[in-house]
Amino acid sequence: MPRVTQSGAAAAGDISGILRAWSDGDQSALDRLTPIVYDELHRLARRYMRHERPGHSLQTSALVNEAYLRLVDYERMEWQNRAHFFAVSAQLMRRILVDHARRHNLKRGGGVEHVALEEAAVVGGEQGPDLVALDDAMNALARIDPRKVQVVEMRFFGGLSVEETAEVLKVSTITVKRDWRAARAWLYRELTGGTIDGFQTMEAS
Amino acid sequence: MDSKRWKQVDDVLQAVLDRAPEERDAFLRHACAGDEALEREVRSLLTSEEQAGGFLQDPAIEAAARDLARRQGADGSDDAPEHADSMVGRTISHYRIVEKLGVGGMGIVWKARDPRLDRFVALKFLPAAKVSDPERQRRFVQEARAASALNHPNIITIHEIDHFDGVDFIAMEFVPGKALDRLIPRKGLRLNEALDYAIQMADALAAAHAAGIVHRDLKPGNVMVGQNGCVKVLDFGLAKLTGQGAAEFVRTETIAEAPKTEEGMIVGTVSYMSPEQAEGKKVDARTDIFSFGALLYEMITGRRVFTGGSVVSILSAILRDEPKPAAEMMHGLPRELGRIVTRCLQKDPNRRYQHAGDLKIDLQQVKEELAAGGAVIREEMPGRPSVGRWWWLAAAAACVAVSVGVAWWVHNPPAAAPSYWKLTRITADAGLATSPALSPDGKLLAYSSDGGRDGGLDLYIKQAAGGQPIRLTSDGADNRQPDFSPDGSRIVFQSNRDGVPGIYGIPAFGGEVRLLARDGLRPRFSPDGSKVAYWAGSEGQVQATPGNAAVWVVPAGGGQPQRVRSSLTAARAPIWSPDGKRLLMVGYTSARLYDSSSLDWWLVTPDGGVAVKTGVYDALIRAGLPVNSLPLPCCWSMDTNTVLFPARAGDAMNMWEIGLSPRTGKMNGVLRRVTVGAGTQGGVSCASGGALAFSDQESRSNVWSLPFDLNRGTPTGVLERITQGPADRGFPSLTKNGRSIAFYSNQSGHMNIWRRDLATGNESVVASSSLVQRYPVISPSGARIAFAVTEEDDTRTVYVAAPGAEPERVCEGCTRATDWSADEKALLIYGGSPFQVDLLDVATHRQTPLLKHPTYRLLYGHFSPDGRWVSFTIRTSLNRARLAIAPLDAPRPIPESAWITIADAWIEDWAIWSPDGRTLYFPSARDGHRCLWGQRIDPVSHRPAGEPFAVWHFHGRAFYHQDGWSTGAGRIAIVLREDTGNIWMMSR
Repeated sequence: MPRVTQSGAAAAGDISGILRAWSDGDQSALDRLTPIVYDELHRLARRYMRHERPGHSLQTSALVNEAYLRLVDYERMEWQNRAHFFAVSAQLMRRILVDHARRHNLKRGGGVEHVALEEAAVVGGEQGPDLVALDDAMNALARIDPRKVQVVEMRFFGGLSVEETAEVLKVSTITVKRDWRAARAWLYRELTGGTIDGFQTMEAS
Repeated sequence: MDSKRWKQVDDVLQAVLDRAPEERDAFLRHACAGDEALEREVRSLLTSEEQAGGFLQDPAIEAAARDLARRQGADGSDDAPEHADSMVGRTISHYRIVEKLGVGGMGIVWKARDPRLDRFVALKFLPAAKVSDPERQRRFVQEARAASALNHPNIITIHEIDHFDGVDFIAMEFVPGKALDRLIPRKGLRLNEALDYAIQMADALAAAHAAGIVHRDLKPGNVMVGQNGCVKVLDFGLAKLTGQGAAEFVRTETIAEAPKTEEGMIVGTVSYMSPEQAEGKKVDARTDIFSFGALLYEMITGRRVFTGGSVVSILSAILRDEPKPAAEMMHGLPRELGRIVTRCLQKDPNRRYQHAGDLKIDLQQVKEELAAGGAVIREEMPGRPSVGRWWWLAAAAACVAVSVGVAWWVHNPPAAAPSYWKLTRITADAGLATSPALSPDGKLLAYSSDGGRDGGLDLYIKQAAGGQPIRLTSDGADNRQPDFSPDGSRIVFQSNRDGVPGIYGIPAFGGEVRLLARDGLRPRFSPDGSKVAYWAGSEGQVQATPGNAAVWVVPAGGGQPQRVRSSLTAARAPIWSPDGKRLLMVGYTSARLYDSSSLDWWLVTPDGGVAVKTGVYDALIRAGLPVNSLPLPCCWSMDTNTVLFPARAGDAMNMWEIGLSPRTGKMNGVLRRVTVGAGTQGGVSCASGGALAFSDQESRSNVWSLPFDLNRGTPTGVLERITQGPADRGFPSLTKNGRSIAFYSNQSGHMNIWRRDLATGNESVVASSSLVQRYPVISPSGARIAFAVTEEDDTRTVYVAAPGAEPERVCEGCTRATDWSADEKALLIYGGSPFQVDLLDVATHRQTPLLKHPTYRLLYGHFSPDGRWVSFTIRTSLNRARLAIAPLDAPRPIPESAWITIADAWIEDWAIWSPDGRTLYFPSARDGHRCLWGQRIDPVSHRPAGEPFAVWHFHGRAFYHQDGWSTGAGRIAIVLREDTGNIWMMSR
């Protein structure tokens, strides 16, 4: 029986079972995707360390495709299943990356790894969004507009295009674009503590 | 905000955004129709939308990767696979990652399991991206390999340096414990503790420097302290690679200005750098001495010696500032220790200690003075529990090196005098030289050697200073375990000469050999020369078996041996206390089998009486020395009041010493390893002045073949070795025609069954598996091989392998198959509790009990050639057995009344029939040698006819060690061991 050695022995073949597992977001699905995501994460991180801009050469969806290829016979899959799969994958990506960031933040804040003054490193580069704060903000947004959060999940975490996102969510591309720009503005304001003098968005919900 | 209100906001926002920017303001006001809150909310979002720029435009994974890159930079590891979740469970090469251990000097360290050797290792990934220069990379690997050859209990063992998936990694010994930087409290370590760590570190440095390796990055994070207090220094020579040495750092950044921390650059720890490192000059071993000083300072005082708010200020302090003397910070610090620290921290390398060995000796001196109360001991911190000194000392010695290396070093000389120990090889025999004995003045050495020839071990004597050895015996027997009389004029030894095993005496320069006592082992002259102590019993069996060994004393001039009577139920391996008033021996007081709770070294007066328990066994175990069985004491040095003994740890056996009061038997706190390195060091002998002699041995086992007329009982050719190499091999099984052989071997890494064609020499694995396979029995035609497998859950099963098929499990819970029936349809097996011999139908797996007994263990059944009889071994007690035969035409199980005893046997050996069924062959030591014997069987009565006769003496350079044998047409196949080794001497 073929085995996926890197991520802990997942048997291929049972597509529906795997899909169910994925859509239930069960632990084994997470376990399967996590190593693949981390591998890529590290590959990209190494490129950053070498001061290369990874650019958009690698789309997250391709990464997820790869993950799926390792599990099932991708070609024989119905598009509907694939779309569904991407949706679940995006959720899982969000979980994995946010967990990753959460541990990182904990580590920084908790002082577990003490970095002495003279050992401190300075690394330049553009600051990415704080994924933990983003996740919190997305949760807040989900309470008032869950679809916008799905769009963010698929585009930002899942790496899907506008068209793919529209297909998965069964909405028009216009809607995806609108949701995207509103969600982006809303989340950006949350994360930057932008001036809100109208509504106390978070508390009021 | 609720979703309804948000919908309103969103609608307005979307509508505004659909407008051209210049229209938006007017449109917004219009759309909000006076709802100011709504308008403010939308405006605020519009502002965010304008400012958001690239927000969320890159996929999340890229943002996460950037974050990771930043963090890895901070951790000092820029290329290591980083995240615990990403690595845990992954297999790198063949190592399976278990968990993250921490962040070390070179990046992240992972704990991983090595399933091949069933051990944990620590894995480190090298920052390949940083080492872009291939030449530098090559040099690094070279250096790491050099460091990996360092075999020292205080240097972490490097198992492997390899390349996986584009990244170099190092697999190292896994040490449960903490890095020193986590152990130093604010006010410093306890002095004893600090000294213990420091001495071990200095020892490690001395060994590395001797091998030409400079650490370059000694700091608390690179020193691991195991749970037993054993120190392991990590990352020897690796600093070169990571560029964490200041030399690398300073070469690119002048120290006059603040180092420009360019993007991605990591500033390493500089606090422990030497001035020459800080200046970017060439460094040598003395740079480690400086770093060591900084570390020692911190261990004692709890403070870093050179501090500053920035890298530059720290480097400047290293170059210019005189550190505040440690003694000023710690009142009551032994003055000598303060001086040692100061000398290490000299700016000028020429004014520091030049050798770590000297440093270590000075530290040891301080420690010993402290122990003796001769130095001022600083007051203990109030509220700190005082730990007995003994345990620290014991723990400090408990470092164990199990790696394989070529060289070994003198580790801890038993005396504290500041002079170097000299290690000299005294013999250079191609074969085995063993059992060294020094004359009490240390000038003469007696030993046993086979002289590189086949035949027995003879006694030799030679001047320890050099010269040709004189051969004292030449009788073909094994003459071993010599011991000098105190005046050096006589030697006593153990021999199995003339068929009379016992203790013999001989003048030191040759002459008449006299029997002193029968059946003795390892004789020892009393210090006054009047008596000889020895022991008799079952050699090699240290498990508690009451009555299986006793200590005796015989007058040196001859006379009646007296048993040393005491409360011990078994006693062995006596040595005299230096004053001759007591004997130290291994024994126990238990009357029950296998009850080793009382197993220990005991002190007994030679005329008997109450035995005094020393507690050494517990001490060895608590000190973490992995003793499978209690080591035997070898000699009691009167200079140091320490007892020397060989102890096995892992694959190596080294010499250790433990301090013991000869009067009370109390331990005095010294426990240390005297030698380190691979190999088997044993048989230590001491002389005055602290000189030691010991043997260093290696053992190999191979299959040998002896052409033999089995019916006549005579050899027809020469004994030949048919396998080669250092692997373990055992249990050769020949086909009926004698042309093929099966045996077990770990020559491929796993213990598997192999088959060899004796004509062509072709070998192949019968059934490859990671499970341990042993004890093959090849069928008469060679078509099938039965063998035993130890399953993962440790149960035993028997499999049968046949060509073109997967091996089939034929029996569960049986221990071994021992013979095939002539038609190859049935196997003789044994198993159960107590062992019984069954007949197993190979096709149906049905078992028929053949031989069983309520208390005896019955093993090793073999069919007679006509298939009408079976021979087997009856183990009547733990160390007694006999051979018997029984008729197969009797009811089953065959009643005991039908069994016919043939001869006494070894408990782990068997008898095989000659082709004519008239002779049984079996190994026996009945004349003191380990040989193959034969016993004729009367063809009518089936009872033994006449006495057993010796067939072949397998006790030469290659000797039989019960690793199995079998017969085939015209041939005996047997696994023999060959020991090789030489005598070494340690002296000043």
